[in-house]
Amino acid sequence: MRSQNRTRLSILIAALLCLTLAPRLLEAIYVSPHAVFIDHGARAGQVTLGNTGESAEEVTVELRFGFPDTDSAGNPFIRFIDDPGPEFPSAVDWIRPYPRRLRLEPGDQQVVRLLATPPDELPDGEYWSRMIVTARGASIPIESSDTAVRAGVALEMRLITSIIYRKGEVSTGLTVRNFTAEVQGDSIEAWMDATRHGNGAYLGTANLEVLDQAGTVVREWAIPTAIYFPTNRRFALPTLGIAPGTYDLRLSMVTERPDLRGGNVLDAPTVVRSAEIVVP
Amino acid sequence: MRSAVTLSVLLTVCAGAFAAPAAAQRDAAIFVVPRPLVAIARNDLRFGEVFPGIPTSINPGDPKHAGLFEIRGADFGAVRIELMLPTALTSMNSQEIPLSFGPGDGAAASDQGGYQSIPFDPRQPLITTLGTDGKLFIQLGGTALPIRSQMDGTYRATITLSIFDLGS
Repeated sequence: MRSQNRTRLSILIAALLCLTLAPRLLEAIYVSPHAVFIDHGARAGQVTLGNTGESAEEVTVELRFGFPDTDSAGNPFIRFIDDPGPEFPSAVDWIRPYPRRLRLEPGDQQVVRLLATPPDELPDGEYWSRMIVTARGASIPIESSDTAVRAGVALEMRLITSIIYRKGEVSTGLTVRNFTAEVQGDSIEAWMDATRHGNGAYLGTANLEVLDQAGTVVREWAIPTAIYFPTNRRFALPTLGIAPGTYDLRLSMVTERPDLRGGNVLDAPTVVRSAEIVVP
Repeated sequence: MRSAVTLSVLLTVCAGAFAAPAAAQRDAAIFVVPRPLVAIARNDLRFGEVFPGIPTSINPGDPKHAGLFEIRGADFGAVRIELMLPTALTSMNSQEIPLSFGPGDGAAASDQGGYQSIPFDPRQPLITTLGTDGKLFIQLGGTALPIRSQMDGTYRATITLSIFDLGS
């Protein structure tokens, strides 16, 4: 009997702990996968949208033409072009998401199909779009009162991911020029001029390693990098934990992407560059 | 026996609160699936009850009132975070309370920094990578500036959090 009571007490404590420690999820929306690849043979793809939050979400799906680019400070951003000319391989006009609007109750998920109707004479190559998923949750509850000023801020969430449509022979490659690096304050500022080759986007990883004079790697970073058009990209890397001295910063651009499904990443020769840095 | 079953159910329910989407887990048992890109709002920015003429500031480290957002994706996933911040809270009868956001009102944390919050200006984009566990936490504070003659009522505004996948 005492044992039973002890068990019940343990269950009660476990339940209370769970209720106390379980993190709140006011709103939670996901898009899977974060990069969709559509083959010309199939002419269709899909993404799954889900709501793991505590409130219903009104979700809209929109396609716009855009690609990763860099600003004058070397910072990456997605450049959107509303009316892309023929020099831009846009798939926006002929890929349609179904549905475009949906309501996701807590715990729900729904497949959004991407149906492509490309022009008949579409040349071989890649065609691009960005998918913008916007979720508007229920407004936050604020205790109402006629005798006080109460204020709160609700949230709208947007997830911007990519769609790549491929037809026929597709290839990519990369040239890196002017790889430079110097320490500024508590960061290593590294710059590269990168130009893509072929008719496909370069989806790779920038592996950056700090090597000491004996060739030992003392710090390393792996940064997923997508290059669509010529770019002047900056990497800011913290020097925290690196002892004062002279080092080599080695950049290896590789077409390895564990976050993308195998077969979707186009192979290209690895590009290696290095620059000397002095950590004061 | 019944106790054991109850405990098992309880733990399953609790685990669900922390777990990745079920579909992703189910697929992961068959083949490796890229992690979804997930945006989670754990706390909204709440100023609570404010007093006319007295500014109310919320520190981004305030666990009760600061906005807390979590972004999940691929390990080391490259993302750009943009916050579209409102200039004022608005009541049902179109009265406004101005809002102010400054350089210290944002903070970001991932396991790459030992989950130590690194301040950032929420008016500027944040370009970063997710942690080795594919997670990034964003905290948001701000200041509400009610005027002396501020009318009673409930004031609201909307913040738009945009997460751009930069890696594809």
